[in-house]
Amino acid sequence: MTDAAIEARLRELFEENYELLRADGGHALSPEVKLAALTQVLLYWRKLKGIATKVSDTEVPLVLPDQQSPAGRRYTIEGVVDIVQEADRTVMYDIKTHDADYVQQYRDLYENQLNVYAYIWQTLRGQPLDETAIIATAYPPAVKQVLQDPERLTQALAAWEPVVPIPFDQQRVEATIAGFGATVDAIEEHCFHPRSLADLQAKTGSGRRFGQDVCGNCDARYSCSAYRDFARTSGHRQETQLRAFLAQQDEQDRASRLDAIQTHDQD
Amino acid sequence: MENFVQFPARCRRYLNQEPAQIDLNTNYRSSERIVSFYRAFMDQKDWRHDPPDHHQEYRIPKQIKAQRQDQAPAVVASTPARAEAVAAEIAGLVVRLLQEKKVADPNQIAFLFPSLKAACVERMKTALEDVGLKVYAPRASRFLELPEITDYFGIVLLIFGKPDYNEEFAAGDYQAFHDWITVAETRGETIREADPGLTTFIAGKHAEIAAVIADFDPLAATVQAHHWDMDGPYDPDRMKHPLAATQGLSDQARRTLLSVPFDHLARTRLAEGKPFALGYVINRATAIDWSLLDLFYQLGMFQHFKAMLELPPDGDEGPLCNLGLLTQYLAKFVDHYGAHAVSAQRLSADRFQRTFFTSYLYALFRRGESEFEDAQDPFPKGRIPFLTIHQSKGLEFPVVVLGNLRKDARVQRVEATVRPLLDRPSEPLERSAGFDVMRMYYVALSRAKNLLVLAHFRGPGLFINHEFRPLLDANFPRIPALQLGPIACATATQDSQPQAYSYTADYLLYHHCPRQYMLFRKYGFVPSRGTVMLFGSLVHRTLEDLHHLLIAQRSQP
Repeated sequence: MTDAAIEARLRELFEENYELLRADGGHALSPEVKLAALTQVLLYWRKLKGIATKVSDTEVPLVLPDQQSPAGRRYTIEGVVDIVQEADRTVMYDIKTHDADYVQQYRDLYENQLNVYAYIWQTLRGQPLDETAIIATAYPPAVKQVLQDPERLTQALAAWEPVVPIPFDQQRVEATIAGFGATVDAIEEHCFHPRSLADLQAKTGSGRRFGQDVCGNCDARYSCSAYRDFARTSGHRQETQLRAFLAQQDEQDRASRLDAIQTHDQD
Repeated sequence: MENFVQFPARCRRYLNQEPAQIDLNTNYRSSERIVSFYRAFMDQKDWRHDPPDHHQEYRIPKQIKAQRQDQAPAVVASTPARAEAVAAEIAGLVVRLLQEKKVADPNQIAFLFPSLKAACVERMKTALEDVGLKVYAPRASRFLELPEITDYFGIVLLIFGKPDYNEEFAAGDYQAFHDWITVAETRGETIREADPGLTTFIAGKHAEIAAVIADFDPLAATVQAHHWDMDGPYDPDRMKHPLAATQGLSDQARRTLLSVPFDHLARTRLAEGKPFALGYVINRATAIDWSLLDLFYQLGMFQHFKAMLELPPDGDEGPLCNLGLLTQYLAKFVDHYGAHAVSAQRLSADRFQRTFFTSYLYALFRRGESEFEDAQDPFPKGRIPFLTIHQSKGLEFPVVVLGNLRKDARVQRVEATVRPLLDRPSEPLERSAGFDVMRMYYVALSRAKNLLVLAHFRGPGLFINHEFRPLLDANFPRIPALQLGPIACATATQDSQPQAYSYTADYLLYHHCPRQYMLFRKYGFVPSRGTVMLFGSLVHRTLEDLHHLLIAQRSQP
């Protein structure tokens, strides 16, 4: 197959998957969001052809069985990775639909994750491993701005670094697994308090606060005591102001909702 | 089933081979007495083929043995009595089991019924509630009648108004549905009165709805004045500014008409020969931009609803499970009917009320319990699950109460239709319905690990299937004499299968925000914009397909 034929097939596969997932989960994507997803897929193929064509095993399930939490609960850890296995070299990739900056920002979490995956791969499966990395498929603003301009897009793609190498360190696996077990206990014991006010005020990689960046998009914010405290400290002290703040909605969201009524109001 | 039963004969006939038989006849789940009981029960039926093949049976002849040889009492029946007395006696036993810590949580005691529609189900539920226990049976009681669900719809009714009521149909389900609407509305009023903020909120929603409706007529007048066609194509160059200049239009509508990204999209569509209809553009400008699902989450601002979204101190997960299910129903409605936003046209002609209440919700109200098992069904902590025997397939519980020993054998219509078309020997139709009832009860009896409780109804009009009768004789252990001491205690954790946790979907998500994890992962709440999840799955799946495609290509010569 030529590159163009693969790209055409990729568009078909994308549509098929979209219809399947929609039928499955009910939710639809607005046209812009759907286009962004397709663009992510197509740019992965253009930018990372070198890796994609060498992948030897895709969506490989990894399982760490027989674990016990501090409180005595039995559990297993599960994950999924892609593997590039060549004659003298094996690399493990985890594909994330975040952007590379986001991955850098939460690097610790991803290091721990790939450490555990590497441990399962090497120790339980007895397979060699030379490198682990995250592939962050969300394209950066520099690419987004020039999507319509083929020439500048080529340049922007060349400058984009979607692969984030994560060195793996088996020394830390034990501590990570212990932390995982503690989380299992916390979930089973129903510790479901929201993040702290200090966490909500802390800035994320985008320069915005966690409360704006993450909570602002969370439906649970209306009923969340931490988010209400965050809103109050951001100057919305009175109850009426607070409600107005909670109900704020951005223009883009409004537009994507209005797009959805299109087919239904024509009948 | 038949394939299993016929396997040896067919091996001989077609393969000329005697198949090796490896018996899987050890039961690792249940106490010895439970195994003996269901064996004795199955032996009550005559499984032999009709003559002349009398030596063959319509079941695999195997003798299940229990691996657990403990001789603790494990099967007990209620005192034979009328349904109320039986329910009260069983409820008393459940209280004792909890007090003496024979189970770690009420959700380890399952009540199984052939059907959840029988009257004895409601009676059993009431008896348990009378002693302060909570039941989880979303498929038994009407889902909409659950208190937290009624409360939400009470507010929806206050905002959108009641659907039409037609006296001609004043009977049956229709009447019951409208009675429920009245109850919900009253609940809504009570909740509103208790919270001045909620009163303001509802008034604000009324004002928004009135505003979009008020925008529609002037825009329609502008369309008429220019002799444009609502169904005709929208041409931004000619139409945008006259529409936006309409007298008395709200700022919101004007902004929506003049939106730059939309303008761009409309021009692209026009150039591609797929223009928007003018009517759509007007509906778009005169729509409320929140859905019933958004409303659900917004109500969390008010104490009454906020409290429902927290786990109560007694660990009762029932309301959260029910509300998670509610968001799933709302999301289905929103997506199916494109109700992410609702246009003035739909609101003013009561089309929205008709679609939502009279079509969607009424269908939900009438939907009976489903006989199909659903692996997604939760067993919330703090509540006693009520299940159909079908739903219980493949599950196990420390204590099982079989709530009804009567099930009439009826030939399924589909069996009767299909049978003559099958060109092979099978169970005689008139007997197979009886066999199926036995197999169903076998499933129920074999779900129990430590204790199996049988509801023994006796009285006018009350029957139990006759295979149970010789077993439940005068010597059979009865609840009043049951000593709980020797019965094994079930623990919450050690007993259960190891749980699988995903590094990303559990561990990382929990650390992102434990509360978000609770609602959206643990209790299945659907986000009002489910786009983030769909986006990720869509990209991942397509890249996986790409990799498969490339791998397949490489392996080609």
